[in-house]
Amino acid sequence: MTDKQKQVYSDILDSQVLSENIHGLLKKYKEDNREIIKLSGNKGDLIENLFEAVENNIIELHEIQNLIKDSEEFGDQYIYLFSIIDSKSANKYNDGKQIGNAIIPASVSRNFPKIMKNPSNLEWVDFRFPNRGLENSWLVKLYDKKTREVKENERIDASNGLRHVTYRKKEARLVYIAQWDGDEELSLKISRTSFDSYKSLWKSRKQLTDLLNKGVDLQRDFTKTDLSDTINNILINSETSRNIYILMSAKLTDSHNGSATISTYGEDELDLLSDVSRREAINAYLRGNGKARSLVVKFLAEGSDNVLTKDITVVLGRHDINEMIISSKISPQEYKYVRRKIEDFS
Amino acid sequence: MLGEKLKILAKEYPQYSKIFEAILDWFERHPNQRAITMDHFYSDRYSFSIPDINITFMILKENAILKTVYRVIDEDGSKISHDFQNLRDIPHQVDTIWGDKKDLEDVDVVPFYALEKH
Repeated sequence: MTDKQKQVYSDILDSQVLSENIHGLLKKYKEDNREIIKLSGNKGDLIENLFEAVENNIIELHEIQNLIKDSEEFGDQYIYLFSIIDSKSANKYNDGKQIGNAIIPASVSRNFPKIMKNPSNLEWVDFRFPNRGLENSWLVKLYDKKTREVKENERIDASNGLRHVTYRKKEARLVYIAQWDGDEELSLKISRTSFDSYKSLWKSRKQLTDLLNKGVDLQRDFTKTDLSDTINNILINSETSRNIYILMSAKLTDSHNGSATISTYGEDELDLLSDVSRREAINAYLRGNGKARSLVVKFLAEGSDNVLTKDITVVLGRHDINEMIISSKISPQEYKYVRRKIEDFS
Repeated sequence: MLGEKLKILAKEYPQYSKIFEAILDWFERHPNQRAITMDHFYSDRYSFSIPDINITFMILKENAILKTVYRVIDEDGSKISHDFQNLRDIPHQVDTIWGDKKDLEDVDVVPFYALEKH
């Protein structure tokens, strides 16, 4: 591993991967390598120790790549779910090799998987089939960057009255993912930044679907997975499922399409239904043929039989009927758990 | 016990006794809220001066009646994430309930005061 590669890995681990996950990997090898592997220190120390373990052939580089892969592919994302319209066309999507060849130039895919911190522009970085051992599945991944200008300084020139404003460019790394589950679902995942808007998200989705277009005909073969009923079922069943999840906020629409958002005051406050007036307001909407359009649900680690290492907040249907937002980075197992629980209410 | 402690302080600092009273009264009337800002007491409802409010909160902190918690507030005045005991614990980016990611420079971090456990 060259110094330059090491720096790239180090930067990505520092900015993208949780300390606890780096600690977890080191811990796996601690028992037989007590002299080299240390579990104490800050995140920078843990990363340094990880490279020491690689240099001493204790940990293989692909395990670090897997850490990065997991952190990019699960959580801190907007997720858009699509269902196949005609199950007969699923066969076309089950052929990962053909899909990959159709959408990615051969000269590009030779270098997969690519790891880089900030791409200069849109870049294909990975295509896998099957994805994580799931039959007929595949995953494609791209990196991009998002830029915004942030006002840094402002002054008025007393001699001529002109106002001078200084802006600084701020960049965020974007990860786009499309994955087919080998059965009926296509999901598009877009990483979150601190300068997302409804419009920028729409543009990102459009860009991703255009790039997939040579192999995936989203408009002809797929339709949005409508989460409306799931959202309502989660709301209606929340009292009886309090050991599994609690509600944080709900956006309700009435029969005239007016709306109200009812929320807790913060994530360390009591849940949505703990206050009588909030509960009554929600019930009034439901009795008057109103519906929950979008919902914020917190899945509880305590009720998960140790699958969740922490509570996980999921936003359902905020910008679109097929959208899920998961704010925190989570493990593949945690993602699977959350999806399964949501599926239970569909 | 808290009432007793405040009575003793009111005797020691009679000039701030009305502010002690107002703060205790607020906590009694809002059992479902954990913390309050100093700013709340700077209004014509109370008619206290800023220096007096400052000194009163300082006395209450020194006497382990109140503790500071740091609350992250967005542009609408809504609380983001959870209260922090220490400024160093606040991450560079925080998430709103509805999944918006915010840079710390784009939100306000406001000291609030909560009752110490008695």
